[in-house]
Amino acid sequence: MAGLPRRIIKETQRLQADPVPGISAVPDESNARHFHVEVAGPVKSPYEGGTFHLELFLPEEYPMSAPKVRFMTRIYHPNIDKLGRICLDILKDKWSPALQIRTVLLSIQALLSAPNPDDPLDTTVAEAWKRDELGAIAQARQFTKEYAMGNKPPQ
Amino acid sequence: MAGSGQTECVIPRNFKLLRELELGEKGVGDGTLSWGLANDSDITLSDWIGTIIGPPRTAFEGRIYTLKMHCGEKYPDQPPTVQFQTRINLSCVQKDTGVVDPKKVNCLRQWSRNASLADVLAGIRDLMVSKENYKVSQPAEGTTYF
Amino acid sequence: MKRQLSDPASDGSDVSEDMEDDDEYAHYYYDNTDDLDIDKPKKSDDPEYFEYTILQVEDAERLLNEEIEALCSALKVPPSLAKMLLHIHDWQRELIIEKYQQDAEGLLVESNINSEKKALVNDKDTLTGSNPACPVCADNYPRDKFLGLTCGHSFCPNCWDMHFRVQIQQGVTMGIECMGQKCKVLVPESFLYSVLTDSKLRDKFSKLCFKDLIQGHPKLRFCPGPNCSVIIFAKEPRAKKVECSLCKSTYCFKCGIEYHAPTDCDVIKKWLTKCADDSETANYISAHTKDCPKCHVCIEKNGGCNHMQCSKCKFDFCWMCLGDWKSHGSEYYECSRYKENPNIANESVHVQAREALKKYLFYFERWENHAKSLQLEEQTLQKITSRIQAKVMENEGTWIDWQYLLNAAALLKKCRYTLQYTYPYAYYMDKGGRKQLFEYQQAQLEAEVENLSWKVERAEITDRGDLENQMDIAEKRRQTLLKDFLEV
Repeated sequence: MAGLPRRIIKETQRLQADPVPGISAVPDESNARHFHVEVAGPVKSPYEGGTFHLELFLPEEYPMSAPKVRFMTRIYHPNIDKLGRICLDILKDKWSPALQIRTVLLSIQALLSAPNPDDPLDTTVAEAWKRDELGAIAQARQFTKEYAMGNKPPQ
Repeated sequence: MAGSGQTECVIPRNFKLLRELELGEKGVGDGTLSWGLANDSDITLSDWIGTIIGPPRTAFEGRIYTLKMHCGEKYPDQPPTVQFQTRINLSCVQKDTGVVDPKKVNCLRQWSRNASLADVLAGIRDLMVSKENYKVSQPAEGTTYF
Repeated sequence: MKRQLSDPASDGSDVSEDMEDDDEYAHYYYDNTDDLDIDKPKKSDDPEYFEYTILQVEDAERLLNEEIEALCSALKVPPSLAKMLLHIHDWQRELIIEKYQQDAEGLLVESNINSEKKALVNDKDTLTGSNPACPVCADNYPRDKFLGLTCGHSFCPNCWDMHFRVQIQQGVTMGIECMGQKCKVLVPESFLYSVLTDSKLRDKFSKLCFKDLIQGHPKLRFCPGPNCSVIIFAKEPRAKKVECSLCKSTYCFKCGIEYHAPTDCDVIKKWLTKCADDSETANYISAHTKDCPKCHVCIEKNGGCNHMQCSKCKFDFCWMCLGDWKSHGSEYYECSRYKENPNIANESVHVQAREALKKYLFYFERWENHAKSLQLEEQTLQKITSRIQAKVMENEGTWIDWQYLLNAAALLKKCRYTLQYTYPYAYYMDKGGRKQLFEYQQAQLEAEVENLSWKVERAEITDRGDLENQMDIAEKRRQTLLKDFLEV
């Protein structure tokens, strides 16, 4: 595998050998920097029972630059927009080369457990979340049922 | 290892399209070209709308042309398909449907995975100022194909 | 202007030791006593008086270096460290020295230059074997190749190099942090230079650093003029007017946008944002024509003066409120004062919203009107200039004889400019005695500016003494208002 940095190889191996509970990340057959990710909705969150498909890409500068991640399953969440883009500090200015794919995915899982409507990406969802939290949670549950249950991974 | 794909860093379809979307939102160049998703919740990032402002000193001057661009599953390994919504007389456009003939636009004919929707729009605009097109009489302003 | 070298004839004591902050910059300014330039306040009792110097890039570099060296010798620390301390602590040298002498380690930790003792790690110990793997790239290197900062996080030189590359490309310079997770320890310039090999990037780093340092320095500001490279130095940074002698742009030293006395930086920003947001609502009032309130003939405003005279019925009226001009000369002048509905608190939300819009439009209309008048008066100035030229050509006096006309036009511009910027100030003022006083002085200034404008537009038929008298009154009103309300 000439050309693929050793760090990426090691991280990939470890993700397979010692996977994070509730998360799977498999590299694409034709692109070792492109991962197909599945995150199980955390228990006691409105996403419980859902399986969320994400994709993750390690840019050329990785690990000096953060991985790029996005949801491919629709989700109702104040920090995730309609196109699946995620607002998470460690994917932006709080990135550190010491962080790994594993830590990023764990943080995304944590974000599902603890939405942060004060730092929103989707302002409509965030406003709904602040105005009527119970209603927003019900809506998130509805989305989970509709889009994240029994769904096949996208092509 | 078979295949040389491992040695270079290949940006996958969706991340490339998200970057194109960001560039389009920021607005680049002189503002005569613009592009964005046809539907802002299209999680597949497939259908796009582009606009070209007719270049000065041509038959297209002062008009705004709207185009539909479709990025398939295989984008950017394969080029997008393009269709004018605004009626136009242009050598690369089928007269009755508005569909752009990829063989007649350089950037589509010699498509490279590094090319972008912006390059497609720029390529079509270049044809508007070309000798064979810049004086051609145009359909009534505001008429559309669909 | 040449910098003044230190005087060899001085008493010979070592001045650098106990040099006062005030004297330190003395050689950077020069006296600007150009009497003809009425735009530049000189007297120290002038509320707009502001001392500043235009520096070339090299001068600014020298100034920064002198400050850095002074701290180096006071604390006996290397320049790279002194530079970081100054940048982090807004160049407050005295404060840094005091804190450093009290608790050097504490200051370095607080500044993210050193790591907290309890957070110290030693990666060299956790790196296993004689050929450990770098925690970032996972490649193996001999143990002694690993590099790190005071926090103890160790990485291979290639990763540091790559890290610096990416950070510099993203425009980060003084704020580059260690690669360790959640580690806030800053990378000193000396460490960066010892690792980064690419000479182009080293160059880029040094240029970006300079920019960062200037932008963080409270007494320095890049001239915001288009393509202007100079740097403005002010001994006492204030929200005062700067005019760049190179590109001629004028702006506020503190915030860098257009000068805005008596309004302060935060308020003018709020006001300009509001105006940009509400531009659609306000559009309807930007018409150039109004009907004469007496004979209803359509009148176009083609000069800056708000004292209008109907060309048909000769009725004198005010362009802003369409009231009789006669009532505007007295102190009962009320055209500039917004009268709030006294019962507003008891009204419905809908009525309150309408009232809020009405209030905003009232101030916006006056703000906008003065801006337009300034443009129209610019044309008047050009007309005056060409008329003077014609007169001089016909031997009707010399340029110097007619200079007073130009001075009058320039003064009018200055007064109206201040008047324009009194409206955002008034808009955000709380009700009460101070607002009443402000509105009274604003009205006074408003009246005298219009009188001056009326006379400037009719300069040739106005007696010179009369005009100069009016100039004096208008400027006095302006000064009075600024003295009372410009935050100094």
